[in-house]
Amino acid sequence: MSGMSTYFARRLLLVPVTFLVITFMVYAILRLTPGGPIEQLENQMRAAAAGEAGGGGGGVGGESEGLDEKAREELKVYYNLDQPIPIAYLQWLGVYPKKTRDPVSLDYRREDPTFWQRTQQLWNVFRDSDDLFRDQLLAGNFQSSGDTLLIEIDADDRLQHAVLLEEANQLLAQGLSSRPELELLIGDIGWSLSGSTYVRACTDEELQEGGAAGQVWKLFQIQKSTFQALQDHLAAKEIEANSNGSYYHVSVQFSGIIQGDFGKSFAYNEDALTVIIGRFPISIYFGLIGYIATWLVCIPLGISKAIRHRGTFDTATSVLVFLGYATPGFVACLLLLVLMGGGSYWDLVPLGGFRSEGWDEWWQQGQYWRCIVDQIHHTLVPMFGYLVGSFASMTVLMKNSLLENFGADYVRTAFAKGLTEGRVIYIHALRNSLIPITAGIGHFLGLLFAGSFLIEKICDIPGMGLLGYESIIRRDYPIILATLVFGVLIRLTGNILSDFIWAIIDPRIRFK
Amino acid sequence: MTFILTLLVLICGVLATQKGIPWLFRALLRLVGIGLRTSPLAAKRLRRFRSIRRGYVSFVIITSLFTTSLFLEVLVNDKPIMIRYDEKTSFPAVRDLANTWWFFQDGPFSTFDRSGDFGIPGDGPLDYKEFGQIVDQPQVAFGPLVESRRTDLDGLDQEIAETVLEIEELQEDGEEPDEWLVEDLEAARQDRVLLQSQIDNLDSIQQVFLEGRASVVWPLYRHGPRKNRLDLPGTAPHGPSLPIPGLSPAYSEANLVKRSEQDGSGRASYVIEEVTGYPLAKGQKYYVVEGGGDEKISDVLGIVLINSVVPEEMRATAEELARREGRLFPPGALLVTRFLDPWEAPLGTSDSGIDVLPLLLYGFRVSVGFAIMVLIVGYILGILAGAAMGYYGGWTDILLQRFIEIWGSVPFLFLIMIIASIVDPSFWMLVIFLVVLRSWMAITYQIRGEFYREKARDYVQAAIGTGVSDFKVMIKHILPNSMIPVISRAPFSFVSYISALVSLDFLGFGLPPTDPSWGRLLNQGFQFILIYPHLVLFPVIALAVTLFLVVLIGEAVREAFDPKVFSRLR
Repeated sequence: MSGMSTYFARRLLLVPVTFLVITFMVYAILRLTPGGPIEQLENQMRAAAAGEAGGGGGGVGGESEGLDEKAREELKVYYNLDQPIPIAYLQWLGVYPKKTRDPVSLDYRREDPTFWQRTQQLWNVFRDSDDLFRDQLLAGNFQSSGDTLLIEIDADDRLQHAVLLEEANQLLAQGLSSRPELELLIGDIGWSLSGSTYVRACTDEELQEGGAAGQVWKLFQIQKSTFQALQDHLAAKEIEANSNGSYYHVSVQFSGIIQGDFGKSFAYNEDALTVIIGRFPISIYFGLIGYIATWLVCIPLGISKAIRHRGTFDTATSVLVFLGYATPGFVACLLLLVLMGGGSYWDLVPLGGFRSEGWDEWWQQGQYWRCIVDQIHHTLVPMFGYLVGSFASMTVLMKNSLLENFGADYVRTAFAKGLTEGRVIYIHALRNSLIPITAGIGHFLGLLFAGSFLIEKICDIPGMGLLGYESIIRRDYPIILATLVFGVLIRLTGNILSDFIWAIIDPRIRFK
Repeated sequence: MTFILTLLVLICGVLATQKGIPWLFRALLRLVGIGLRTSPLAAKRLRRFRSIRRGYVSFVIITSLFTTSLFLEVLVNDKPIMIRYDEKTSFPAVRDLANTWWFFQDGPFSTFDRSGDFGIPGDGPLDYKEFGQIVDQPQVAFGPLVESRRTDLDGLDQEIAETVLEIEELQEDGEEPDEWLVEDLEAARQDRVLLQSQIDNLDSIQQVFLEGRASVVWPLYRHGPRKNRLDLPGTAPHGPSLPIPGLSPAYSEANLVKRSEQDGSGRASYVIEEVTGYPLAKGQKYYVVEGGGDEKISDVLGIVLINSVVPEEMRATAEELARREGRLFPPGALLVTRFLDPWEAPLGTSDSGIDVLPLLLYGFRVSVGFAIMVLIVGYILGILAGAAMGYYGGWTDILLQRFIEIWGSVPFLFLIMIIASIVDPSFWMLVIFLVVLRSWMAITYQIRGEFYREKARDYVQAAIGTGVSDFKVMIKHILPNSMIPVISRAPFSFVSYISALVSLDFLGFGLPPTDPSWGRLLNQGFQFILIYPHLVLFPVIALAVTLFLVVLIGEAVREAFDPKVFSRLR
């Protein structure tokens, strides 16, 4: 056994490595490809804006930017997209500290009124100074960006960089497509673009002088210091304020999948793990019934096909088996719905859904029988779809494995001993031929995640498959990654477990 | 007639595929100096494969259908194979075919036929259907037109004569005729010359058609996979015109009451009433047929379009869309929305009004072609990777195995969807995606195992010992002995690739929307699942039959190449 133990130990050790590489790859792909949550939000806003503009008949001409810079930054922080990919990945994994921000509740604020009165005072001071600063900023045609004060370029600048300006204006006229080029060009001399005017940072001299720039700069300093004062005051309770006047508890901690934190689903605004666990019952329901049904159908069918090998029954059922193999499960579901969904032919099955609308009420009212019938009614079509795919390969596996055993010496010996046919087949040969089929049992954990999204889409079942599919469409990163994590882990360990079980039940199998 | 021709084409397809192509292939090989030796073992396997009837028949059917489908453009198309007008000849469908197999989209064959060149006035593209109708019935097409021009001419002649008479009378009276009168006469004479030349022109064009110097050769089925069937009554999707229970559409009937005055456009409008079947609806098209029983129903006079409805009186007004030249719609004529000929649109149309039959046929070509491409490219890559793993072993093996395990765990659909959201995948891009993301990995494990085993054999060691290069050992010595898993697995991979394409198309992440595809048709059927079952049923039948045949081939191949001789129980 020692050779085998090392074999399995080695394979188990490789699981984390494989897992890390896969998750990192997917994480990176998610981050690198366009169409992330912020872009989706912007698209929605744009669509809404276009709708309004169309309704009002107005022309919101030119470039609709969607979100402004500040909102985008905040969203990036919210979705943890502001970190570089490797660090964000490590944070998601839970081995790198992450700054978390929770809003301060009103109840919390009531606990220490004096502290919050003082906070309010400081906030008022900051707001006044900020208002003053912003007024001056607008009045003097200044702009602020981070810690610098920007001013529109003046005649001197135009003269000094006349050639470059000419070139820049040409690029500007070409529209959005040449924007990056333009920004690169004017960035070299410290300019930047604001709307369609060029701005540059104020020089130190300008800031020192008593002119307009100096005034605004002074106000800017005051505004910053009042905000700092507010933050300093709040720091005692590990709270931060943002410039909108919202307060957050800030804590730096390890919070990733290792700690069981899969993040909040963007679409459901709920913990990703909770969303996924919510789908478990449906997956288990279909997975388990499908599993049992496959066994109940395939094993007897495989046995009788093997016994009547090349007979009429064998040939006839082979056609069925091949037809099943040739039809994708979701196509079989579609076919059933068309034939029996109440369209042109028969009205035998509902068109979709996991249960009827009022199922829970019926259950509470004690109409258990009605509930069961309804559930079976809704199960038929998707179950058929699941069965069609798996039953062909399982039946053929069963048949071939049994046939192989029929040719083995021990079967001949058993017959020679004078045992009855039934005893030889069902006691001797069957037990051995079940081995390759039972080997798949290691994947039983996969039942939790069972569900083909195509079948679920067609039968309108809110299961795991549909969740995964929709999360990909909506770019719901936490859900995508959470399903990936479970899927990969279950698959990797399932493979090893299957081999392990196989090695245990069949002593002839040796891994090394 | 069409049926016999179709049969002939299919027979030709079978013969060409089963006899012609192998012969050509061998001749080509002989030409470059490679004699194809069939080893006794391979010959035996081939014989065994042929002896398994259902597998061999499936093989003949699938391969023949596919080779025939390569020429679909000249078999099923909305353009004629050849049109001739006087000295001018053109081959629109052949041009389509050439464009399909020419790798550059705007190849040298993307020109169109100017209608002016083919006897129909104008510079635009030629309407092949119109041209065909004229060729069929030149009298009907030209008769009334020439007639009306002649009437105009007679009118002009009379006018000229009257004016001349008037001028002469004035001159007799010794008066100078008015200036405008003279000018009128001059203008009328010019008009006459113009009209005369038009009539001569029409006459000469008609002559060409009448003398049979214009002709048109149509494909077997005259509708393509891209053009909407605007000629059908009612709105798309149309149910199949073949009488299939549950699928053929219910039809409605109405009576034409009277013809109103012509409106400004010169088109007549009609009042219709008395409906059976579906109620009158705006925008609905009706065939106009001579009143009476079913037996006369094939005599179509034209098509009308309903433009306003008064529901409570069960009355509507309709506008004439098309009318046979020289035939008026008599009051009491019957209006029907039913198909008149079971072969008019045998399988109905899709939700955008595209004929389903060409869609299915072209879809077959796309699906099978796609699977073949993925199979070839994927298997070559997979064999190379598996061979390297099995032959070199050690680190190559471990690293590649890890790589495959990782790459195989990345959700495939997820990647395709992400890529499809950035670029619209074309046929070849989809092939590459499927190969790179999935298909190459399936075969590696088996090839690896085979190479592992074969490498230890004496003949390989001997080859290595004589200094044959690694690559040559792998390809020339080991590979031929490791092909069994490859060949017996291929048909089943084939099935899964077609399923993959159908799934992707069904979800909308597959082929571009202009390409015919089974999956997209299925999706449309899914949208209209209760109303238009034909959009699900026909693609499902096409898919299931194709895949079933391929599975039968697979079983036969497996049995021929890897026979398990099971002892009977006793």
